[in-house]
Amino acid sequence: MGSGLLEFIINTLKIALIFVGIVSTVPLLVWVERRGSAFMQNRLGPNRVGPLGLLQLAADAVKFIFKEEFIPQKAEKVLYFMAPGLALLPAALTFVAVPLSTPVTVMGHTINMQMADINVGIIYIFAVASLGVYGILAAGWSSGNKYSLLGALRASSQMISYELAMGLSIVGILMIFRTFSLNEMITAQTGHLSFIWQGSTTTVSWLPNWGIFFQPVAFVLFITSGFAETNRLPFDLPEGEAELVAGYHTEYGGFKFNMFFMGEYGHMITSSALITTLFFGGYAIPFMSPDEVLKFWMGHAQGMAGLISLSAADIASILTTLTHLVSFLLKTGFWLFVYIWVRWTLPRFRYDQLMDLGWKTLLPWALANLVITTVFMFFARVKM
Amino acid sequence: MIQQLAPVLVLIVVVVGFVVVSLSLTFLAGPKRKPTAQKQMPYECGIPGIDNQTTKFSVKFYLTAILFILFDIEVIFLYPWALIYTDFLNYGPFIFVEMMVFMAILTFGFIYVWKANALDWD
Amino acid sequence: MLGITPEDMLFHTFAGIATIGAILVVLVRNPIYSALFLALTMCVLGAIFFTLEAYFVSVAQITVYAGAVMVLFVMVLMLFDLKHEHEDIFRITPLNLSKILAVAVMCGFLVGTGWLAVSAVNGNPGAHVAPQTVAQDLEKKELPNELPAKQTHINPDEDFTNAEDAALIDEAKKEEVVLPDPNVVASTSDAEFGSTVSLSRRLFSKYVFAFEAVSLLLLVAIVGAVALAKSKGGTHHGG
Repeated sequence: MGSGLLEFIINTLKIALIFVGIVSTVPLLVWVERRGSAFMQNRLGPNRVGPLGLLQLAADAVKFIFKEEFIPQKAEKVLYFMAPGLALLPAALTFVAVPLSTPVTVMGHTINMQMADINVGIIYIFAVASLGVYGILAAGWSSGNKYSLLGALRASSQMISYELAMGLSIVGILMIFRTFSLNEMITAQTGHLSFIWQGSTTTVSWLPNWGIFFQPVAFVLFITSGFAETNRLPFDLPEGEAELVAGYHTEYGGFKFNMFFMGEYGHMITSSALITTLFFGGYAIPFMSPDEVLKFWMGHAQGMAGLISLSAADIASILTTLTHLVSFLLKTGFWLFVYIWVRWTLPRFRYDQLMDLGWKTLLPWALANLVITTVFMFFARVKM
Repeated sequence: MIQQLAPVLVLIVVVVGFVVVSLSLTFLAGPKRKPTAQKQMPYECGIPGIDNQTTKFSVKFYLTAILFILFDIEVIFLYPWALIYTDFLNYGPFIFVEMMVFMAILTFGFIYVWKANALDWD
Repeated sequence: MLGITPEDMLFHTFAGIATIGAILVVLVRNPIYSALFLALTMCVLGAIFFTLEAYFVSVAQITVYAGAVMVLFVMVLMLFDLKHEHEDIFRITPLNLSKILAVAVMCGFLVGTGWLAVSAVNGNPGAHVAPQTVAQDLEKKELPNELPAKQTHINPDEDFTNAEDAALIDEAKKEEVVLPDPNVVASTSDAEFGSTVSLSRRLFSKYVFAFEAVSLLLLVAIVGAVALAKSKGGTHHGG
């Protein structure tokens, strides 16, 4: 019971730490967005508060706390207060299954660098993401404002249409990796590109074994649906300023408004993490498997073992985990930057164009990708 | 099972705690001002709206949601099939044909929906 | 400690939340809150499936029921501006009496079905009731999830090892990829119990007819939904 309790405490601390990490990445992202958009629009972003304007977001957060709490007259009070939490909860829950790095082994304890190694990883993430619709609907309806309600209905219709395309686009990836678990997918993407054709294995040594080389169409579909799911431009009509003021969160101010944005950026972070895990090898370093990295660090850890009171194996394990964490953060950070980049580059879609894209373009392309992948793998495995 | 479920439950508790703490912080720290009639009105571009007009909402929302359910069920069937597809190929084209039949039937449905203009103008 | 395992506590918590949610569905006044409580019940049912090691069914429950069907309900309810119905259910009218009668019949039906199911499980030596064996598994410190998904050999219990199954096991050990007999009821101590791979192997070999019939059912639903919307004037241009 004692060791079980210790493990429970370690895991709870890890979960709290990762959650705090996400919550503090959100202000960082907003800062990148504001400075990055300013750079793209040839103007200065926030640059007064703190060095390079980095404390701007802390100031904003403090400002949010001190805003007045008001409830619109026609609002449904209970749901009005619960809606931001309902929007934040699925965004946080989707990040549970994302592997941040290799497990670290220190003093006999192995700690997984993800909140939970769920064996149905990717479909769990989609299931919880589909619950995000409730936060939007609750917010729109409980505001007592019929334009908020209309914005909420349009946002939720958009979200469910693109959830379909997203779910369909990864079936090809599932056929190749044959697992739902994100950890196993990363393990399958280590080393050099190799595939089976007509029963024999071919290896291309100058490309890493990443998912994007197996399923490029699925990658395009997934990233497009990801943009639409998170209500980011060019798909952010439900939040469009000219049409509906602020859509489903018009009547929200202060920290509740902040929580909606945390939910949106949380979805964005999970989307980027999924893109790197499914298509770009996740935390793995290209061409090197985690075991090779561990061996590399073992060679260097002998010298450091004398300085700190940890064994060489422990130090090597920590360094491997750190290396892979840096790799993961770089890749995910790049895709987050792409999200921000696209937002300030492309014009917004009209709503009917948006729904047409989801149902009449992405869905047929996803089906076609699936059929082609199926046929391809049939001929790859069955000798003709 | 419990190693996978427990972190999810702990995270739910953490997030709910975070929401409760931050909302109570705002409640305590914010200025308490009396609600005026102007502030309480629903925001409609700053112009006082004509109240109690139940706008007729389009039936498109209902149709989109129903079609989403049906195609989502198809996708749910595709997930376990994708896992075993390459294993079952050792036994011939049966696994390929059965899923193609399933998808063909649903593609007919999709084409019907498209031709019936049920996906337009949303 | 008291013989209460964490699995028992989890089950009772989830079952309690699900039951309270389901009761609140019929007790709250506002229909949208009803729908939201029903969505909560669906999610908690998904969690109960997870505790029973039926991982794929749990995810499918949350995706389809809580994430699609209940979203439809909530969306449609929000489109209507429903006034709260203040009807006293305890007034004696024929309608209220028939409502109470219908509920009583349903309760009797459910109790009878539950009784039948429990006695069927107790009479069948091959099936195990989940929480007990999970507790035993934990005592043995078995972690089925650590084994790779492509493990194909069977570990049947002593209860139903016979000559046929022994031959099957020998065959399984020789070949690399072999389909386990879909007629063998799995035990909870199997490596593959509840894994999506074992579920899909059975679904796409033994139950393929049901699977194809589902596609026809979905087609009927698609055509029906479009026809219904069209009859209300929903799909004409400019609508």
